[in-house]
Amino acid sequence: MSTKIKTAEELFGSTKRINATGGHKVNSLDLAKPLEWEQGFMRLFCEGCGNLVEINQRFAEVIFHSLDRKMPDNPREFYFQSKRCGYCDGQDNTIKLFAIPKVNA
Amino acid sequence: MREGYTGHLIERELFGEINKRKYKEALQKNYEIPSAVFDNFELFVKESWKKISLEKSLALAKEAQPEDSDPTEPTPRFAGDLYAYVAEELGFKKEDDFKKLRFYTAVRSHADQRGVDAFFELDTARETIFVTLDVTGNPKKGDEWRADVVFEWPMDGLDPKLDKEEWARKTREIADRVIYEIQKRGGK
Repeated sequence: MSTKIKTAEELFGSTKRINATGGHKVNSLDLAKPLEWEQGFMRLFCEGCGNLVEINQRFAEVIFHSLDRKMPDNPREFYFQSKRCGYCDGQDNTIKLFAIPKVNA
Repeated sequence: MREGYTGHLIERELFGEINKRKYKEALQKNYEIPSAVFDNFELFVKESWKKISLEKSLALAKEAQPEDSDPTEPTPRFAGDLYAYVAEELGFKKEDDFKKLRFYTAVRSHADQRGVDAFFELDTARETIFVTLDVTGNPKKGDEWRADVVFEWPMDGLDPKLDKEEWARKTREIADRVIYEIQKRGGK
């Protein structure tokens, strides 16, 4: 744990992690939208708590590296789907890489 | 040859479905990510982003307060002392007064993305106002989002018993800045 987070926890306490109820479904329309974050590289959807986030290239590289997997040539056409994320209390470390479904305009 | 019927289309017609299925299977394989990736909250917050308003992120943080916490009697010690100083400055004495001032932690919540570690909520005659707080080791850091009150705190900690004077001085100083922000919003 970083010193900053540790200090903040000591001073203020900490929120509870979101309950990972599971079974959340990602909205294909949301996946088809252009990334909005200037650092945005791919998306990650947590089916544990329903959280959809944009991740930057560094984080995508951390995930691919930890999976011992080569990044595809066209990473923006894919998204990660996990059972837990940094905000929820899920315990399942399963993660999948999916192609973003084509959505008709 | 039919119009537009190229070698690529012939290939796709002959092999396309098989390749597509295998490709899909390979994509959807289950992988086990090391738990350290999601357990590292700071990595997750720094390297990911969610389109969320400050108001919404504070509302989510409020819903995720620790069990048995009371926003009018916050813990840990620092939060409690800070609350007491701010309430004192606001001239609160009665129980109903204290109900108007609430303190919430936002550590490890979506508000972290906005550089907010904690916040006060104060009911005024006109509206409810918020004052956000962030502790940092480097107040000059150029983050996009900054809390209303960003303050330094010794990263090796202060002990309220051993460093009694310094603890009180720093806590009062931060409380004064909270009051200043409340005044700016017409809350005092």
